[in-house]
Amino acid sequence: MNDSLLSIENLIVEFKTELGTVRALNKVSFDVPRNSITAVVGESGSGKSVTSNAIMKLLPDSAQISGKIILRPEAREPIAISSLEERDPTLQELRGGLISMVFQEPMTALSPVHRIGDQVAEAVLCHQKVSPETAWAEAAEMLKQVGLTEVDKKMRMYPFEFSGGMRQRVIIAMALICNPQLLICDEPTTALDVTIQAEILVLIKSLQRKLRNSVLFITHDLGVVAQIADRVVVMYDGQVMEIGSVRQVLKSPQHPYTLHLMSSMPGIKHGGALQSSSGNWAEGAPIGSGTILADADGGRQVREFSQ
Amino acid sequence: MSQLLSVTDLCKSFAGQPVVDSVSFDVNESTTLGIVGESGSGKTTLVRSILRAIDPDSGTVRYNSREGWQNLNELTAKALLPLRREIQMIFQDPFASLNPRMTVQAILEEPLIIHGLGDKSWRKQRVAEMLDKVQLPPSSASRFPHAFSGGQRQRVGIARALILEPRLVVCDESVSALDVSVQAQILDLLASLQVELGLTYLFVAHDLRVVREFCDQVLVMYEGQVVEQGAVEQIFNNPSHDYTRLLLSAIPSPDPDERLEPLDRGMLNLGA
Repeated sequence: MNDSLLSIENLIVEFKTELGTVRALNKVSFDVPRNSITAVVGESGSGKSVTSNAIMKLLPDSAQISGKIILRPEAREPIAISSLEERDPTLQELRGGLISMVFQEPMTALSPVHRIGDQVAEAVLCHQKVSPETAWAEAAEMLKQVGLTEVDKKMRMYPFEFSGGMRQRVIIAMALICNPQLLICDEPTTALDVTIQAEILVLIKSLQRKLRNSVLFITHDLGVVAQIADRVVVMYDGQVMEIGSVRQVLKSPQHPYTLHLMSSMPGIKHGGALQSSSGNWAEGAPIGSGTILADADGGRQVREFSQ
Repeated sequence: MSQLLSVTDLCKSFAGQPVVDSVSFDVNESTTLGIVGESGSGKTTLVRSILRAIDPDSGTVRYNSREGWQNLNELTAKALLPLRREIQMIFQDPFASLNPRMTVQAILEEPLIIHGLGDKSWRKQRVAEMLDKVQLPPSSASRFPHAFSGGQRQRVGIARALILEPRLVVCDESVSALDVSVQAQILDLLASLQVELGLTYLFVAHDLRVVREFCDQVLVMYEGQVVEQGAVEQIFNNPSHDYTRLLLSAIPSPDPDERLEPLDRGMLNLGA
């Protein structure tokens, strides 16, 4: 019996274009366990963001979707997200309520013409029947939790008066204020400086440990993965290459693509020339129909590959 | 090894706020100087002042051109024009820095036309040579930027910068917008072009891992001032300024057993 918070099973997403059908996701299956951080890592075009948008049902109408996405919230029946209709009231509850999202660009994710306090409180008003005063007070509390100081003054300010790191804290507060069971972070630190990135990573991790929710963290940076994730899903070309605990995947990577990704990292450890290609991985190499080989307990999964 | 660039007491302020505050450094030919620091530390303003893309308030930028030493800061725009051939720039955003309505041929040819070099057939040949150098297929010349991926566009940007045979190339966050594996390919390309053409790079970056791999010397900037400069290994292994230590402590290690513990800003002496 699967007790993961979220299960994705054989998810296929295709887009019809002028040049024919593009398969963005090809039979993607993985679980997001409860009370943990799962990282999805891969390059642009690997399908990371399509996966997260599919979970939120944010894909455009042109997308043809098959497969299952199931959310098993605590204290209620499982929800088959993949079969929800666009007008289903459950969807409203899902977006921003049970699942919420932190986006990459802290500059564009906030409205430039509304005060910070109003934007954070709006999320409360959308999902809970409370007075605006209560919502404002909850927003203030949440903003304190994400590490903002002088909250009363800052809530009356506008996003342009905030630095990138402060804006990202506000967005995290907005995402967490309705106490979601799943928080999706789509490259939340990619646009930030290294020092601010470190602060935000520490913040996301400590909030997860405190709130005991689940985080799906999308990134292309293996350094970030190592620091934040409990479990790792490696994706390439719309397919899952390898799944395991962060130690399994980063300490003993099995799939040649994972090795390739690691060798591409500008390292602190290994000196000498950069290796942009590890011996047995060619860019655009066909992956073939390799099946996923799983350990007995399913904790470690690696796609079959030819040596 | 001869010196190529010598910057002394360079200052630039916007609205009374100093953004580059008496910065001095030297760069030797065929080496790479990394310029690191957080957003707002003045990295971009510094390199733009050197290029005279913006005019600095004071200070000297002495450049050892093919015709001898010149102070870039004193030259008129007209006198600067021939030197612009020698100093080129590769930008950060491969999507915004190429005109979507020009073919790659037109994009790469434009610098040659501006500098009045060669006739049409010679320019065409030069473009083909450059495409080959940056490892793009010859057929790329007739295509528009939208047909290329981010990494391929950045190759076009590199080809445009190098077609004038510059000696000093300013890379302002040139690999920051790229994925790790594409980033590694572009860095490989820049490194091999440096060996082949004897280029000198000013490499602005906020990713210290890239700087460690790619640069010889490093300049650490904080609030417009240089807080530390030296050889890359010295800066990384034995940082002497608290701000450098803060930057280094913030790098997420790919080893899950090494915990990320950024130093507390409040505890540090960051007075620049």
